[in-house]
Amino acid sequence: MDAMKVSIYSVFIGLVILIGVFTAFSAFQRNVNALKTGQTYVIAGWGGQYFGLVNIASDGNQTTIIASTPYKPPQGKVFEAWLVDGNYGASGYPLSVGQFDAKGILTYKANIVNPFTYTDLGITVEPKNDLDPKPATSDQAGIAVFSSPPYGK
Amino acid sequence: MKMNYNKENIKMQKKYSHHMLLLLVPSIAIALIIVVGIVFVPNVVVIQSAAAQSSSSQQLPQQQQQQNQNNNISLATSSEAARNLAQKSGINSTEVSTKPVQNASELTQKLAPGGGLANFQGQLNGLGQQLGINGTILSQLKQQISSVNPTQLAQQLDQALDYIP
Repeated sequence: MDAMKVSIYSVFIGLVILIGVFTAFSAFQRNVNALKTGQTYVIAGWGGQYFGLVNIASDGNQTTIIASTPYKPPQGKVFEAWLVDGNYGASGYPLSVGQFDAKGILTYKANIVNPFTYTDLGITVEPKNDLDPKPATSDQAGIAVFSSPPYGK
Repeated sequence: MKMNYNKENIKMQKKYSHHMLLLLVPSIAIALIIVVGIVFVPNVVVIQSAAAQSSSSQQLPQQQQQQNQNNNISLATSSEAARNLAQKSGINSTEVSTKPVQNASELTQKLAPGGGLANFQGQLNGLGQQLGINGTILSQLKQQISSVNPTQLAQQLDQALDYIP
């Protein structure tokens, strides 16, 4: 009788563990997929040609941005990307998401409070090791317009 | 004896009085030069520096005007202008699909002449000129790559996506 009880309990606990593992795995997979696929935007260039592409994936907090460009910045300069909160009546705040590396790749990963407030990704040309935290507004290279859900809220 | 002493004294005074004058005149002249130097030179320096400041302040507004023309165009302003243009162009965003990466068909279609994004890109160039944004940076960089290949763009991004940490 006791052996019967023990086996029932064991099966029950085993099932609970199995369901837990399955749920965790599917949630993890969904999260990975969401972050991996995201949405891709063309970065249109202010100089009359395309600057590159950007993929932005977010679950509402965890946000990954991957951008690429075939261009190399001028000597002593870097390409810097900014998320812009430029919606009507919004803050207009530019959040730097880093600079493109020597291969023309930018990788950014952060746990943002509200990534969906951003409307665009702007690219500026900045001096290498620039100490000025603001974007160099006169040297704007390109812009990716989100303006589609879930961004620009 | 006393009379003799006085007479000698007067003689001495007469003898050296013109020597005294010779000493007094240059010393007064030197004193005057020093006084003039102390009083006027700082004034001249002040006037000169004021003049320099005024001339530089005449130049400054021109420099500032040029800077302001550029600095006034913040990312928020240019992004809003770009979004308005996107809406007018009939596209709400620059979103594309890069799949399948091998030929990036949608991306190629949208970037091809006459495609939605191609029109937007063309108009954005004009908008950039209107806003005074220094878009020439990409024109200069065009020497690196004569034309951007959509498939290569898609492949480059896809490779970067594989390296997500």
